[in-house]
Amino acid sequence: MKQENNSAKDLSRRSFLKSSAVGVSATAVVAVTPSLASTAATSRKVSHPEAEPLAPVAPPLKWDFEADIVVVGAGGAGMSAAVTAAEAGAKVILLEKNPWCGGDTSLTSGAEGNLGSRMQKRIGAPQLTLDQRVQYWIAVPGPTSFVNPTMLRQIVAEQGPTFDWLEDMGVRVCEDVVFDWLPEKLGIGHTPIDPEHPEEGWQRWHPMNGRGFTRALEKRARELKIPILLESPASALVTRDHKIVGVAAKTSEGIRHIGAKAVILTTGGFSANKDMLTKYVPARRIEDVRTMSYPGATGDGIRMAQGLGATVDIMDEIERWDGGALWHPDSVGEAHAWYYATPNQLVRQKSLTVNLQAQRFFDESIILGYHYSYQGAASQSQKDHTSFTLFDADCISKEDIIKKFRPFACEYPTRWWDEQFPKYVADGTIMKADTINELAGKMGLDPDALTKSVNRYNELCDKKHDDDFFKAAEYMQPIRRPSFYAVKQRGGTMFNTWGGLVVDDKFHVLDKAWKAIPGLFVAGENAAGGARVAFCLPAGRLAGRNAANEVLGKSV
Amino acid sequence: MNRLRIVFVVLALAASSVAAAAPQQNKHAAKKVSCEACHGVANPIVAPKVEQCSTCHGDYKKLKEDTKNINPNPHDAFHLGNGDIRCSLCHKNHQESTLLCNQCHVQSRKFDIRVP
Repeated sequence: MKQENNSAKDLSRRSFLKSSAVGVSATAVVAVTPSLASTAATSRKVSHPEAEPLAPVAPPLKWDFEADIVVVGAGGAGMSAAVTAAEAGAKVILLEKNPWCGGDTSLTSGAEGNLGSRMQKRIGAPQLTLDQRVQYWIAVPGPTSFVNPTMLRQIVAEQGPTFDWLEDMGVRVCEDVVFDWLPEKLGIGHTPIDPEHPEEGWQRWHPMNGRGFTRALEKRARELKIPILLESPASALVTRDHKIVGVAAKTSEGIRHIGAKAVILTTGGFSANKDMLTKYVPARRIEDVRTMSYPGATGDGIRMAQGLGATVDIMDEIERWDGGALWHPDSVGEAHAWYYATPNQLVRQKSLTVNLQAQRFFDESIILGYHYSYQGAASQSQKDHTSFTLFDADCISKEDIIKKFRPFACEYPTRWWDEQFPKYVADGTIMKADTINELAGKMGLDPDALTKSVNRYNELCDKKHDDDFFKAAEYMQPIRRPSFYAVKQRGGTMFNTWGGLVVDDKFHVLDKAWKAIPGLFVAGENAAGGARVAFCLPAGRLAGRNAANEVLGKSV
Repeated sequence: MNRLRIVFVVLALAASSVAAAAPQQNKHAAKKVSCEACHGVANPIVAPKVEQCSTCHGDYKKLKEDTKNINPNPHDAFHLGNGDIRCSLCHKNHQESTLLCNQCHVQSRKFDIRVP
């Protein structure tokens, strides 16, 4: 009975999402796409216990701790919210599930949130007006084009001041442009560097420069004497007469209740929650896909708010990247670190890539697509989500890669490249052969088909024009001088989830009647479309400021 | 009445013996470290805080120096924030120690570091 109720909810939710996405009525979707109806019918039998809403609990007789505001999750958004609220005069307690602070923000390679900052002016980057900046964030692939325009405008306007605030807090930023996705070259993507070793630039912490942000925020939070409860995941919201009055957290010493006038949910996405992924994301999109988040990214904030009837949106969208060469079936659906190992970076270069039929299938130089990584989505669309990237002796050293393929951000060879290359050749992850025939044997492909594809590619390289897929001529490096190398990649990787809670213009969580749930705020990946460090940090500031104003009775 | 009292006493004894049951494994016993030295006398018994371990083993700064030749240095781990994570997440006195890093660093990215 209970399951039937759930699936009925499922069906209406799916239909609602579909209808809101494509603008047709729910009944029309069900009527014209029988496959959707049958999917819903199948899901009736499947239960997803870890995807169910988490019901609120009643207040305890006595609070273990009390504060004005409890922030749930000490990642970029959470620490930004906590510090802002404390700076505004509110008494804040910060809960964190992991034994350390930083969350998934500390795992990013950087952020594009410097638009409108002092530092952009300092380096002479183009000065964009607010409307141009808003348009950038709508145009650039990723979750941000899903953010409600009122919110988007507020967040974008807050990005520059947030960057300045972080600089004042001790964050040092590399002046080299590390990301610059759009052809206009806006000088947009800068990453933190180690303030103690500025001479090493972004390469010192590459690939996880995000910790430059989170370390400074954590230091500031500790300076402000904000109590940070580590290893303390929130387990339920505490309500009295449907009003938020606190949070319950599961600590090593048992359940602890923290009383508060407002709660800010910043627990991140749900990419480490298999039940939520199965429930919300289309099956093939998560097949053979691994998770880049910390294991704590289980959507707790979303589920707790759903326990109070919160609305969620864009739950079916995830950020997709390539699966890499170190794919292993055991790691599917698991959180794991692997992304920047040399063989993974090799498959990301703009060299010849073929599928299991030994055929080339796309322009290998396109980085961005709808789900962020075009290369990731294109290779995941092949048979068995499998593809191979080929090199010859002229294109394998770190120097050659940098010169010939001009890699940047996640493609850029890490400092352990030279040490890892021979190691992975020895263990066969990077396949090596003296002829294309022999290489095909190692790859398990038809040698004639592979020879044909390599010959065709070399012919296009000589011609300096890619008639087949229109890759820029500068990346057309022939595969001609032995030894020959190939790296196999499989599956995909999920960097984050885009779905989350729907908010109003003060970052309150909205219920199904589209009314604010009193005292409940959200920022970061917990909010629908919030999964960008460049959005988490300013959104955390806005949510923290709004919550502080509300609990301290200040007018806004 | 007497019978009830006996039942109560037996139950109370059973409960206290559960609470005081000595753990199967106790690596600190060899060093003659008492239970109270780590856990204090509070009930329920909880894992000791970093400060407690530091009184004998030194703080993170010292430990970082002690293990500086291990690559990567487990006491200066890349992902750790400014805080010091609880020692017993890796070093376990009453069971096999583990390397927390390998929770995510799996397969070929696993670190081969011995945890005492």
